Amino acid sequence: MDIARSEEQLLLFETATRYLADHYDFGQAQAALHRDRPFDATHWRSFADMGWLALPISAGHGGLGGDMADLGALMEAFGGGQVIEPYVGAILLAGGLVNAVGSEAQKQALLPGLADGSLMLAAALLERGAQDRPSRVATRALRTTHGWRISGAKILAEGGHAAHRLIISARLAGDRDDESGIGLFVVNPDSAGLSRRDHGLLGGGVVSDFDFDGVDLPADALLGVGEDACATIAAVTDRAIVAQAWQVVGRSQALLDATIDYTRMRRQFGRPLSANQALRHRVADMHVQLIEMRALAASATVQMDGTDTARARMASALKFKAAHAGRMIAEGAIQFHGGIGMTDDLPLGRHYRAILAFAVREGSPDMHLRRYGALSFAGEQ
Amino acid sequence: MDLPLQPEDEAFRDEVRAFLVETLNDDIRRAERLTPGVGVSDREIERNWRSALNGRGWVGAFWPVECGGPGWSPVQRFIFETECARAGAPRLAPMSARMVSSVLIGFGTAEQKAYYLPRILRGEDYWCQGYSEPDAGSDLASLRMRAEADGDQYVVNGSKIWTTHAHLANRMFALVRTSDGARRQEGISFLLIDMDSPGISLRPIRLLGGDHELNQVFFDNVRVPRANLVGEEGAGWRCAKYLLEFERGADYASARLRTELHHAVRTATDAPLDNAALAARIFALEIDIDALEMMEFQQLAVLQAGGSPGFMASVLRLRSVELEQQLFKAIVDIMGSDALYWDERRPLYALDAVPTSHPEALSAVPKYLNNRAGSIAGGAAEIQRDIIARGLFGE
Repeated sequence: MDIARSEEQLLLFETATRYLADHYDFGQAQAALHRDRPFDATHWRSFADMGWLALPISAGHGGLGGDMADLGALMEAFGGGQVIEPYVGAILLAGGLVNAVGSEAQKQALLPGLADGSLMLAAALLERGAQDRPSRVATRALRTTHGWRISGAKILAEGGHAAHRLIISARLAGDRDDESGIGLFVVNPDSAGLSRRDHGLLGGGVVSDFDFDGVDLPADALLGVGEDACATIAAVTDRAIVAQAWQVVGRSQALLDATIDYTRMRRQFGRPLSANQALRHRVADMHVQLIEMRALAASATVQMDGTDTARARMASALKFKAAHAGRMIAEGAIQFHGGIGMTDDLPLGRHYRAILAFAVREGSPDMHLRRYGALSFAGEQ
Repeated sequence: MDLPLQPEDEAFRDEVRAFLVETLNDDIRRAERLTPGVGVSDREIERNWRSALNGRGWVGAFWPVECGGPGWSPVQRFIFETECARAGAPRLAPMSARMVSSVLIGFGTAEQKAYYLPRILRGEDYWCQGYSEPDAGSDLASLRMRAEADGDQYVVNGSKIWTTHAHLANRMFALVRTSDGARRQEGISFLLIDMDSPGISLRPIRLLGGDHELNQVFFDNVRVPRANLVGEEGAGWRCAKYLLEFERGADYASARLRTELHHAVRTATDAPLDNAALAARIFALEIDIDALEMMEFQQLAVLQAGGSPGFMASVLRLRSVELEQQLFKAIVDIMGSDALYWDERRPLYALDAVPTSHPEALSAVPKYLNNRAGSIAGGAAEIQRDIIARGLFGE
């Protein structure tokens, strides 16, 4: 077992970091993302050209078959480069679900296009009041003579406004709070009875809410054979959490670096801010938090290929740690930048907002703490 | 952390487990659990455990193979430490097989290595560390204990303090002042002292937790052969810094902390996980232990590849100590009113009748109290943060 990055992963991180520094501008990307479908695909196209969209997609479906460690290197660069493209929603959640449960025909229909940038997917899994429990699904899929009829509402689909196809969860059986009976469907967003509202996303990007008012889908819209998808959604979401945590690592490193540079340069009372022990010790603690976050990210990365318990346990550990450590580092960075740290002129605030978004999406830190605890101390009391 | 293991590592893990089943018994486990200090101080338990380890060649875990080390990979070392902690094996105090030996291996002459290292493996020498002085704590370079050259001997005068297990040790490695250079670090030398030498006397120091682990040691015209110098005269600071990095960076605390936490949860009289606020503290501690475990594993990989601990040593020291302090604070809360029983007698594991169904409660409070020393000894937490900040600001 090797926990250090390979030469290829180091190169991927460096290439991506350099490319994003030279070509990716947050303000321009934000403006482009807000346009309607087909959205300004300049960045998405270049991500495809760099092989980044294909990275985690399986080799038999137009992808590069990269593992979690490869993805972690890319995600850390995305964080430092302030990327707000809907990579997590499109590639990791939607693409990950298709890869996990889709039939071979469905994979061939969706994944090569996703990998080369010609087809956008969005995952619409959440419902109002269910952010902590992706299995809490009230949207129903009823079998009809021609296929399926979907009724309900899904929210917070990242990049949903730009998607050619949605991947949604809907209940095949049981009641809203049951931990089983969930199916996944491929939905054309232009279907009759489907309406969409777009919203800005904390940290950058766009999310869409969808209402399904008796939307008819063909029979082959069901991904796979309709086995319960709860465990698959949890596994795919865990990978997305680890990927986002690597982004938080990249953002936290950028915040720490900026703080060190700024406090060395900024003079008050006739000496650099960095001469003050009160500041130095807090910066040391910020660095320690970053090292801890990196260590847990490395651990979770290894466990993404482990047992279900090991995977879920470490994804939740990392979520809790990265949410707290990331905010602690961002808050220190803003404090030590003083007034300028409160303005929206620096990357600091954008990093901070994106870290806040990480903390509250895909389950709160406290939900993940409980999930982690239940797995860590099962049967011990 | 359950690492995905290669078949040869699984075989090694099974070998370690079999060894532990064969070697440990309930008395030894109980002694370890009820020892509030740095390592089991019962000489018989220490001797038997070290001797069993030595039978496998496992005492000098960090040593190069040519010096008698086992040549373990980082994964093997991780497995060994984890299995020992899970099984409740006693810990050897670090002064002999970890601290002085690392300096001897790095800076000693061939004769010194050939003489002292096998004696450590066989348990013929038990070492203590003579660093701090009454006026030299975190500012170690201000130390004043003198060693004046006289023919082929030094004459040593002064005092060392906070000396762990000086009352058990037959040898001390000490920092002494051999000259007053322009830089005070330049006049310091690293000297090996026989604790049976005439002129050495001890004053025991009893700690908050009720244990006698530490001592003040007085030196009154103590004669030490000049051959006992390690490295050049005046080069002691280099050895000291190297060793301090080892002291800070080569500990392996996470597996032991995890065992302590789970043991407390499992055996507590009141169900601690039913208390949501306490459960949240316990879970957050376990996450920090997971992080520390990977940090220690990463550091092991650096050390065994021949790298220097650098300022990561201070990061690990700072975190493992903070975590240990938080852990024992939580364990006292987990124990609840069982923690009220207080016994002055030592060693705790030798007491046959205890006033609670929960003998661990007797050691939980002493461990909590004694662990306040973690952020003071080996460079206070403030010194560790200074070192980290100097590294970060490139100074």
